[in-house]
Amino acid sequence: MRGLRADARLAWALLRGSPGSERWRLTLTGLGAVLGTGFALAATVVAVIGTRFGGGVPRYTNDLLNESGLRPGVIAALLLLVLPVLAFIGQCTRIGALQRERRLAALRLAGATPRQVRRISALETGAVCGLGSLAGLAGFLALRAVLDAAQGGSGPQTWPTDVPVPWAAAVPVVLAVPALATLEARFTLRRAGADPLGVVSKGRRPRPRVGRGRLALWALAPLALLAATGLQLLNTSVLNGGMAMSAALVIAVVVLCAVALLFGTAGLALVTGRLAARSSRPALLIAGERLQADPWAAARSHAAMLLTALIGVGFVGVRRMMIDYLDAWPESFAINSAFYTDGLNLTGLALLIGLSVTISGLVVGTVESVITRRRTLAALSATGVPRSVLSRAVLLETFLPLAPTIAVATACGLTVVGSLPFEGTSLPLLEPLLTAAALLAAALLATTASLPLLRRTAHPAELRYE
Amino acid sequence: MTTPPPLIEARDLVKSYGAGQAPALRGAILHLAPGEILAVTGPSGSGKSTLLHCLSGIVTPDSGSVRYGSERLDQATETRRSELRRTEFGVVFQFGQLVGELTALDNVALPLLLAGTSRKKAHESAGEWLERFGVRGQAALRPGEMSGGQGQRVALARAMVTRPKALFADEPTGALDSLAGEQVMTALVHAARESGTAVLLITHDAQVAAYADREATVRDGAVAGETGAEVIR
Repeated sequence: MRGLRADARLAWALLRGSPGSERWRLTLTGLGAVLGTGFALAATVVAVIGTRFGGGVPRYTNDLLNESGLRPGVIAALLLLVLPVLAFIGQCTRIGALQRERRLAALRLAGATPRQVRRISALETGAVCGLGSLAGLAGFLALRAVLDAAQGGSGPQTWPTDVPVPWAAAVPVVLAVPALATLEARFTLRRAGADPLGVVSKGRRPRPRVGRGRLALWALAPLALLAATGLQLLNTSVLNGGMAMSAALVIAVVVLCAVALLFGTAGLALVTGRLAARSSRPALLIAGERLQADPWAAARSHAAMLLTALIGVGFVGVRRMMIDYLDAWPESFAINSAFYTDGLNLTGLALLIGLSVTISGLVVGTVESVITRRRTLAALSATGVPRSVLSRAVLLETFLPLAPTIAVATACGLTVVGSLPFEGTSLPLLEPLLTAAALLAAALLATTASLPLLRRTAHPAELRYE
Repeated sequence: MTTPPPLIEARDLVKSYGAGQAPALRGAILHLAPGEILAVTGPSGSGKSTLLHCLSGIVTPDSGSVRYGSERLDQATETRRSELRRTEFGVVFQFGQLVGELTALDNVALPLLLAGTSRKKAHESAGEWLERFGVRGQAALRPGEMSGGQGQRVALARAMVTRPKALFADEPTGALDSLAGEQVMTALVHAARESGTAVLLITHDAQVAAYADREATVRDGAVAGETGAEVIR
């Protein structure tokens, strides 16, 4: 306990002394905690609506809040929004790797054990997220007060501001967000700062632990899984086994697809990198070599994007099929179809919020990648590589691994959607495919955010500085 | 008169940094006696720094042995070697060893804080050592706000704050001008003599090597010769 306290004090001292270049990373991490706390607090408020108001009197303008059967879905959606936020915090933890490696190496040189430096580093993230979580709580309370004043007292309300904050749940939430972020940082940094000689290294990165042959084989994982799940789901007898079993099966398949995609991305990055490196075009060559040198970088920065693609494509497909089903069988439903479309649109809104957090994480990751490699890029520039070629190479580094993995994610999503029993409807292709294309375009657009920085840093003068 | 047993003794050290690379050390043999100042000189790439890294437990050799008293450093765990750096060894490099985010006072107190010493006591000791090295006035500054000479004196204060049995200094004046280098060396030798700390000093500079009791020359990964016969066993 005493050791933990000493480490926490050191972490705090390190935070206070962070240079300007680190502060933007810390600010983004804190903002992630603000968002995560906000979503989780909103979920706690929705969770207690039922305990406050019973009966059939609609209190809110939206039936998602009025109907006790739908509120768990709202709560689940709000809690699921915490996932991209955690991914974003993870992305922020990873960035500034070179500076962090040197700091941790200096601590190691002074006698800190590898475990100790990782704990100190995770506590840094935890402290920032703790502050962010408190700010999130303050912001949530302030927003509630503003919304409460804005919507007045009579008639059904838009926001559930009449429900008091359930402190018994809110306090654990405020504590859980930094705790989860600390655990996540501890996992993310599990291999960081192990070498005291890092203080004098020039930022060499260790080779990936997994052999390249095995990594290339992983590229086949999502495809193999896709084939297996496709066959399984097409066997409708399984899906006819009841609603609960079908839902459990679909969730299990989505989780398996997500895991396979995450592991397969590094393999696909390696394979596409190898193919690109055979090209005689300089931008492809540079991107291919980079992907081969660190295929895990693509997996790390695109993980949240792939999950968004998988869930996004699946959702768009389900939405279209449900709307078609409602149109085809209007007499089957006692409630107006607007009830369902409203719910679907709100879910879509939640996904868009999740996507915007994911895109922000991608921007952060790309900018960081350019900062970390600025000397390499400057060296290329010094040897006469035009910056336009470097810009194209950076875009290709995103496009080459992401295009095939988004394609696989789309196929996984469509396979799951196609297996759902919506009688009288056909598998929609246009909207899911457009969604996948839009996601890829958004990822490339996010990557272009780093190009102005690239133009500034890829300058031969950069080589003069350590 | 009997010769005291060596504080640290390295035998037949071999160390490579990867398959297919020429070994940095090829059978190096060296010892460091308690309280002595030993300069290790030699051309670039001869293996001087690798020798220091092996003797201080920062890296482990591929073969050969490093004894610290009765303990085999080459077989010690990472945690034990970290503990030794925190308690019985001090390490100073040419640059980069200070934590940029911490003040000079916190940097010097770092080994004590990592060992669980209370903040107050750690800062008191750190303040005393900053005073000894003439940089008390820089206690609140961070490394980026100090001159190179001040930074190296802070690094020395940190290395000495635990009153180590051995101090490992790899080109400690390599990035300094001659006046600052002389000040740093004078402070280092004075503090080491006063504390009875043995010093292993890697240097290219004959003027720096002149501060030592003994000089060992490293060539092609092995100790090629030694001077300073009065302390050689």
